[in-house]
Amino acid sequence: MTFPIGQTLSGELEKIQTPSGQFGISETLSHKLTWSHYVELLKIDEDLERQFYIKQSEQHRDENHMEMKRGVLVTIISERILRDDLIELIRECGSKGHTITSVVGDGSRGIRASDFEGRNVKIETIVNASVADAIVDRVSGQYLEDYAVIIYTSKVDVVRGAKYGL
Amino acid sequence: MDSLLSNFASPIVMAFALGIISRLIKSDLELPPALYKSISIYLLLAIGLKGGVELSKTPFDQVVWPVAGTLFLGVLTPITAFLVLRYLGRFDMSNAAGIAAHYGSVSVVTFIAAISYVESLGLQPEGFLPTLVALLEIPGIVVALMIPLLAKSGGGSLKKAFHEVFTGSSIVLLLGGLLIGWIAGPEKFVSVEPFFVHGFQGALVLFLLELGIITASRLQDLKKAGVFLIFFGVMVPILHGAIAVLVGQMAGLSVAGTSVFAAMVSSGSYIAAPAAVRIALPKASPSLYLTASLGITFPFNITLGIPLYYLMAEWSAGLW
Repeated sequence: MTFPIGQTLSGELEKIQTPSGQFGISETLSHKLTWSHYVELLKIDEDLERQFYIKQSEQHRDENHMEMKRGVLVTIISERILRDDLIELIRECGSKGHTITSVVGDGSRGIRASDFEGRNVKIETIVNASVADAIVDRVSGQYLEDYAVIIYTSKVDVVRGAKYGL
Repeated sequence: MDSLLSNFASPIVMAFALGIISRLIKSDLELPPALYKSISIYLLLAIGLKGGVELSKTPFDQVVWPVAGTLFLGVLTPITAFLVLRYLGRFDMSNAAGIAAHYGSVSVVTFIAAISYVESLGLQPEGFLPTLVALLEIPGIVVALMIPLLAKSGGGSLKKAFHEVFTGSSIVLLLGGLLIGWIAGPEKFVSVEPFFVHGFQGALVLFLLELGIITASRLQDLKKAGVFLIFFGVMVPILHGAIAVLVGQMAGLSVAGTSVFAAMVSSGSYIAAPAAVRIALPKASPSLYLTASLGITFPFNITLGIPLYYLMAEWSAGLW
């Protein structure tokens, strides 16, 4: 569990910690360690022991953070008939892999050409920002006018960034 | 009149009606999509296999004229449908061609229902008819999709659409089944016969139940489709059926065979054609072509159309 940047929670944390004086009052405190780290550290009574585990926790945090890379998750929801074309398109744009799920939904168009082939598909791929732009541009240009397609992006942190070209 | 009533009392037609009613009363009845797909694979492969076995027993000169007649009608029907839509119905190019592609192609379930109908009357249609279904499936779609191309107002990818037509699951299963049945022959087919022949009618009842549900959900679109499309969805199948009765008899088919032939020529596709049209003519509205083929022509054919084609075939056989 990572510690969210929220006024209330970090406020709570300061109240708890101030009497011991161990962590001090710091605005940036919440960024130093995760919430679960603090929970564990607060339980320790022995000063030396706590110092040891604080060091360990920081080291642990650094190792974890080294692996996380910022990428863009591109999600395309479309009628089933476009599945193969869209996969080809994202590959051409530089995506290195994707996940497909069958989904059911309704929207302004409603009707699908081929219930026989299946309902809608959701295609997700994690890519770098320039590939994401290319995908959004091409999908918008080719499909948004005539087909039932939704495309959106979100920023994600992923481990093993190289796998996605990050 | 008796032949009409006997059709309404068939389990296939009643299951279809049950599907429609279940949707109208907002029942929660729903076939899992995987089951619907499995049954359609089973049905298509079963007709292919049976047709292939029959084909292996049929001399070539008996098949050649029906094949020629099928190809002729495969080219003719999309053109007549297109002309009616474009010039009488004032549809735009994409929609006229898109709907015409459906009426040029064939509904396999209408074909099966027609076979069941004539068999219920104690008649035996020619065994090689499934071959004709496979042949009729392709040219209609190809011809209809060529029309906007010739008029230079396509938009979609014709290459991809043709790939969809030729490699679509219905064609692969029908042609594959025909080939397997033809190579295996009657003796080797015996081992798989119980599954593919005896279970067939039961599976068809389940399939029609689902088609009833799908059709009922299209019925709401009828209001949007307009009066002309309803007129088209009934009159053009009758026109195509009448032409097919003539062609079928000239090609030497029996009365039973001619009735089934007319039913398949008159029918509108809703498996192969929608996928191809969606790709080749993205501007054509799926709610128009699916409502026409699945919401109007299909229910008309399996209730009134098939007995009508039988009566036409019987009547015209008396004239020769």
